[in-house]
Amino acid sequence: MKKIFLVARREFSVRVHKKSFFVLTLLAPVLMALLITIPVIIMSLKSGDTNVIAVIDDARSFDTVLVSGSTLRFVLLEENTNVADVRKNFDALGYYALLHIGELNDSGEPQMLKFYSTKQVSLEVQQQVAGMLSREVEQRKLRAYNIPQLEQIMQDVRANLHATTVKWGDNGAEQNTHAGVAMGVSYAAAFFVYIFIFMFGGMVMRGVIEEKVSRIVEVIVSSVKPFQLMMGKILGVAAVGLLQFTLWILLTLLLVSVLGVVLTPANLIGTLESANAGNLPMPLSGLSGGGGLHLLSYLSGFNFAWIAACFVLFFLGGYLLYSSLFAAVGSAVEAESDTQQLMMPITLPLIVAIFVMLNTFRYPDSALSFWFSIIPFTSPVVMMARIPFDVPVWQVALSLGVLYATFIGIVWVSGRIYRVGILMYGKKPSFKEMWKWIRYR
Amino acid sequence: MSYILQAQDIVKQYVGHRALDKVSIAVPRGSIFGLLGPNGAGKTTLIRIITRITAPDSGAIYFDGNKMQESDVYRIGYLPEERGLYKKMKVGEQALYLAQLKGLSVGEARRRLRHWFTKLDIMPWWNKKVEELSKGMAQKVQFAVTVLHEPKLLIFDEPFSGFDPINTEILKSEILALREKGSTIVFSTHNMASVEELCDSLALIDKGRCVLHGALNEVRSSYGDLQYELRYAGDSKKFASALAPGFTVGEQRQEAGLQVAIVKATGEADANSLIQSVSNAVSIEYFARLTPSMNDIFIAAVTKKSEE
Repeated sequence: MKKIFLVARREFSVRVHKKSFFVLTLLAPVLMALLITIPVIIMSLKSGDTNVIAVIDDARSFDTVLVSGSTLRFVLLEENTNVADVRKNFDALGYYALLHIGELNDSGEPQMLKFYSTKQVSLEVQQQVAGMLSREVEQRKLRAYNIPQLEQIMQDVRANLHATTVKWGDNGAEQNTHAGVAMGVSYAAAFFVYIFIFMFGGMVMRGVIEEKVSRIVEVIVSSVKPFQLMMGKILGVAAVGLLQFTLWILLTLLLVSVLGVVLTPANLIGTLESANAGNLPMPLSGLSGGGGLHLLSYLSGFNFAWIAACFVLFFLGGYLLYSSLFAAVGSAVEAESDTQQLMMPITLPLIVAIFVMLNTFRYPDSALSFWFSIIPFTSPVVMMARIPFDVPVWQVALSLGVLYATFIGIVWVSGRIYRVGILMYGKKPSFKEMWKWIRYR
Repeated sequence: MSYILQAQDIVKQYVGHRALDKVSIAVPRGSIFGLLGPNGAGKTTLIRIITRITAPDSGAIYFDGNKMQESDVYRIGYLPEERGLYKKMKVGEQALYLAQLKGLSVGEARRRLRHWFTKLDIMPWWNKKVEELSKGMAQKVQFAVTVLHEPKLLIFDEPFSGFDPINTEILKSEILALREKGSTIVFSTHNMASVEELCDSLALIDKGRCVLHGALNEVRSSYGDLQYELRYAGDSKKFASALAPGFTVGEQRQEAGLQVAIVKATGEADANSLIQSVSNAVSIEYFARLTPSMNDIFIAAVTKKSEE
C-alpha cells in the first residue's frame, strides 16, 4: 500500500509541476467561458446590423404593411421604377436586396414575390417578409367576409399558451423545472465524463509507454510489484484529474461571476430573447420561448451537490475501468503509434455510449437508456446523461456497484497483461499474445 | 560453505519454449558469482525469478538459508540490463524516489545519496534533469541507486555494457569494495574477461540448462587437459626425449633466445615429475601452468552441449 502511495505521489507531483498542467488548468475555463459568451456577444452584435430592402410594389397595396424594424428597413421605390433600373446601379444604392411584389390576383394575393440581390438572401429575411405579407393578406381576407365585431372576435380567439413543469419532491416541495435546462446539464455532464476518461486514460497509457521506452520499468519493478506500479500510476493520475476538475469548477465559477458583472443578467437574457430560437444551441433553444426567463431559477432546481457527487463517482469509476485497459495497452507496445489496433475495443464502447447518450437526454427513461446506464463500459457516460432527469437512487447504486465490481475484475486482467508486457521488447503485440500473457503464471 | 542464495530446480515455461529447465545454482556468501551464458540462454529470466519480478512454474529460491519471501527484495539490489531513468525528472529527486521504493526513509536516503554522489563525482548534477546527463553519468546514478540500501545481495545484469573504460574501472573497484564490506555479488555477463578478473565462482547457463557450476578454479581445472608452458635454454630434441611418460610436446618455438614449449599432460602426470624429468636435459628459465581461458571453456561447454 505504501508503495502504491509512493508511486502515485510521484505521478501526481510530476504531472502537476508540468507547465502544460498549469496552462491547461487556466486556459480551459477561459475557453469554456468564451464558448458560452461568444455566441451571446455575436448575437448582440448582429442585431445592430440593419439591412435595407428596396421594395417595388406593383399594386401599391402593402405600403403600410412593411414596417421597418431593428434588423430590416424597407425603402419603397417610385411606382414606375422597374427591376432592370435598380439592377444597373444596385451596388451604388447599397441595398441588401430588392423585393418585387407583383399585382394582386383574384383572391388578393400577390402574383409573385421575388427577392433580387447580388448575394444569397437569407432564409430569415425571406421568412420575415413573407410572414408580414401573409398576415396582412389573411387579415384582408377575413375582413372581406364582413363579420361584425371582427376585431373583438380576433382578440377573443387569440391564444398563446406556455407550459411550465413542476416537479414534486418527496417532502411535498414543488420546484419549477425546465426540460431544456435538464437536457443541457445532461449533455454537458455526459460529455465531460467521456472527454475526461479519454484525456486521463490516455495520460496513463502514455506514462506506461514512457516508462517502458526509457527502460526504467525493470529498475522499478525490482522493488515494486508491477501491479503496484500500475495502480499507483492510475491513482496518481486520478488525483491529477480530480484536482484539475476542482480547479476548473472554481475558476469557471469565478469567471462566470466576473463576466456576470460585465454582462448583466438583464443584458444577457435580453439578447437571448431577441435572438431567434433557431440560432441557439439546441439545449438552450427551449429557454427563449418561455416568456419570463428564469434560467437561474431553473438551474437552482437541480441538486447540484448530488449531480457533482455522481459526476465524481462515475468519472472515477469510468476512469479507473478504462485507464486500467489503457495501461494494459500501453504495456504491450513500444510507441504510441502502435496503439491504434489495440485501442479499438476500448474506444468502441465509449463511442457507443456517446450515441446512446444522444438518445438518452431526450428519452432518459427508455429501456435503451436504462440498460446502457447499467452496463459498466457505457454507464459512466449514459448514467450521467440520465442523472439530471432524476434517476431512482437504486439504479444509480446498482450502476455504480456494477461499475466498480467490473473495475476490480478488469484491473486484475490488465495487471496480468501489464506485468508481462512492460518487460517484453521487440514483439508485435496482438490480442492472441495478450491472451497468453494473462495465463502466464 | 554457506550460501546466501540457492535456486533449486527452477522451471519456467513460456508458450512454445522452456526458458529454464530445472536450473539449480548456489551462490556462496561474500563471493562474486558470475552467471554466464549466451544471449537468450535464460540468464535474465533466472534473475527476474530471483528478484521476484516473475514467478517460477516450479522450484524454489532460498535466500540466506530460508525460503525467499516478499520482504527479501529489500535485501537485494538489482541493476537490470535494460536500465533507464525518467528523462524529465531531476537526478536527485529521482534517486530519492527510487531509494524510497527500496524502503529507505527520505532523510536516510538523502544522507546516503550524498555520500555516493560525492564518491562517484556526480553531486553537481543533483538538480539537473536526467536528459541532460551523459550516458556514463546516468549509469553512475543507476549504480548508486542500486547499492544505496546496502543490500546483502547485489545482482548486476551486464553491468559493463555501455560503460567507457574509465567508468568500467571505477565500477569494478566499487564492486570489489562492496565484496570487502560483506556483500555478495551476482553478475550476469557474456564478457569472459571480466569473469576471470572478478569472479570467485560461476554458473554457465545454455538453452535453459545449467551446464557448468562451481568455483572458478575447479571449473578451469576440470575443463580440458592440463597444459604447461616451459621456457628453457638448451636443445629441443634433448628436451623432448627427456620428457617423462604421460607428457607430450604440443608446440615448440623460439623466442628471445629461449625455447618455448607447451607441454600437454595426460592422466595422473603432475608438474613435479615434469620438472624433474627435464631438469637434467635443459636449464629451465620459466615454468607455468596454463589454465584454459574462460572464453575457451565457455565456447567448449556451449558447443559440446549442443552437439549432444
